[in-house]
Amino acid sequence: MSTTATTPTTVISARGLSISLDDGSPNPPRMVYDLDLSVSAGECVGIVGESGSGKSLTGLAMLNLLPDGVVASGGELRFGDADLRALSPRELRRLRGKEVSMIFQDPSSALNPSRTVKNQIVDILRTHEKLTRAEAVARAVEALEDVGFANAAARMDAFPFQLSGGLKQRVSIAMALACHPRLVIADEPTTNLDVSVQAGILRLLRTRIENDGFACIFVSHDLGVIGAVADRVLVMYAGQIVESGPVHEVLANPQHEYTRGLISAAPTMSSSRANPLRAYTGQRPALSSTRPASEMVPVSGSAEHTVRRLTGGTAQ
Amino acid sequence: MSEVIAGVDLVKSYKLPRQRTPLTAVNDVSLSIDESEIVGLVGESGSGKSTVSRMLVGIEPATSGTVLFRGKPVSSKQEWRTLRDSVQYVFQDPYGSLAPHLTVRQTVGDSLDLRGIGTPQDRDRRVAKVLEDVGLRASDARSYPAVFSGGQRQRISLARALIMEPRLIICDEIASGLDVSVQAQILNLLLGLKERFEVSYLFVSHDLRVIKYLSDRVLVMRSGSIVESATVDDLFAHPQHEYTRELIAAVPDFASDTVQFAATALPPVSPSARKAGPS
Repeated sequence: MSTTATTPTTVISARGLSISLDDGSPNPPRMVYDLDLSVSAGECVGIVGESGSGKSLTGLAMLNLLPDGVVASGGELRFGDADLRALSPRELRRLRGKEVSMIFQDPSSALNPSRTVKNQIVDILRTHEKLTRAEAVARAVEALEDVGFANAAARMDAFPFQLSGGLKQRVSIAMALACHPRLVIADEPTTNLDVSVQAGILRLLRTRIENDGFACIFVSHDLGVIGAVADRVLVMYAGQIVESGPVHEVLANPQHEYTRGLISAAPTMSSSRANPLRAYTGQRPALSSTRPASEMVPVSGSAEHTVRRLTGGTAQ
Repeated sequence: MSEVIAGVDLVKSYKLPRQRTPLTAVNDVSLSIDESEIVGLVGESGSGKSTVSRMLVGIEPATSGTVLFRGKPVSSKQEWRTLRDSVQYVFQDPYGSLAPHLTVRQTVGDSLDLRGIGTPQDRDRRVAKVLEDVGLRASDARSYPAVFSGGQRQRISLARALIMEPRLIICDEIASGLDVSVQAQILNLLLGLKERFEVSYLFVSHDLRVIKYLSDRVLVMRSGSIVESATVDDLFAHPQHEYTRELIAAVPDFASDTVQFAATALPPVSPSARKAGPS
């Protein structure tokens, strides 16, 4: 389970980080409030929440990859010893893909449709490491075999469209892990996959986290997936972490009302009509520059109408 | 209980370009759905579950086999029309299944308008009522789909289906891709509508947790065939087919008894003797 290191090293840490709209005003509307997050080597931290809770933005901020018009402000954001936000674009380019990498939800749009699997992995390897083409190809074969892509040497000339969704996701994981990153951010990487394919991918990620010892931030709206893959979980609601802790503790014994709401709304293998799911509805606080009231419990009630998407930009 | 719809020996095959042998997507599937019954249809992508449900309403003509509506085979155009009044279909994508340029009133009331049922005022009243039945407001009739969230759009699609007072609604992945609380609202809405209007559902999904919550009976499909059919309790307590057992084992579940998935049930995929990342 744990890595050989006796004291786990913190790979990424954020303290009091906010993510806000860059609208030029002195007090811009914030989408994520005072986030504290740190992930150690060999650890997987899950971020769970609903659409618009800020979980995807949080993941993107860890790569300094926020969309235009959205900025991380206040607090600090450190990757190893470096202040992530003080790095030049050139330094960031060197970091991304090598030290920090990302696995996206949709492998069909994350992979380049016009290049073969082999070339895409070779590109990454040769961008970041001094390798001859032959060495890079050998490493690409190894990277693919390590993600369960059987018979890689013969099949790596395939284009993405020739592969199934599960295989494509394995390829994008191979790309993410090819340069032995210290941090991997996975944003809903199994959401569109069949259950058995999903189980394979989760198992693969878990094994690689344990074997390779990288830190992982795993964003998902599915509590079951988070329970299967994460060591610790952060529950996000309306831009704040409302609860965090070891994943099995939080899921078995949730403390915050929102976490309880999320759990009682999620179907599980033990749910049945005799024990109806409880939908948790209500109005999310509007975006503002100040943190919402501390007991920020969603209003319960049936008025789903009142929940309107506030911005197009708050995560997906 | 009397049967609403049945498919007998349904086959769907597609001719492929430059190939002699056609591709068989659905192979000899028979199923039936009773009044007030919720049948779950589960399987992986490509197993043929959507094709089966589409053949039942004739959106996809069957290559061979028969659809029976209330025990009578459906063949003429008129018979298909009658079936489609009583069997409604709700699609997966809440963003793709509503015409963006039509108001909710137009979309929901379209079937009544086309058939000239009642006076225009009657039709407006029925639209208003059915919107309230699905948990929307009568005044939402004036709005366009763009102002609604995914969950609300699924309610609009359900209203469009309900207005014809159907006996069966086929729901193809209608709760996928929604947030859990919205998903729970939709699932509970379906259960409530069933009680009130005694409608049956064929609920197509790849999510076993949702299927287990909702269904009375479950059909498991794999590569074009139904491999197992049982009541929901039997299927999940005593799965007979190897494939069903595999599917159930693959479900990530945080309920207490399987919570150790991450810790124990994870055999290494590729035990590569690789050292940890770069120092």
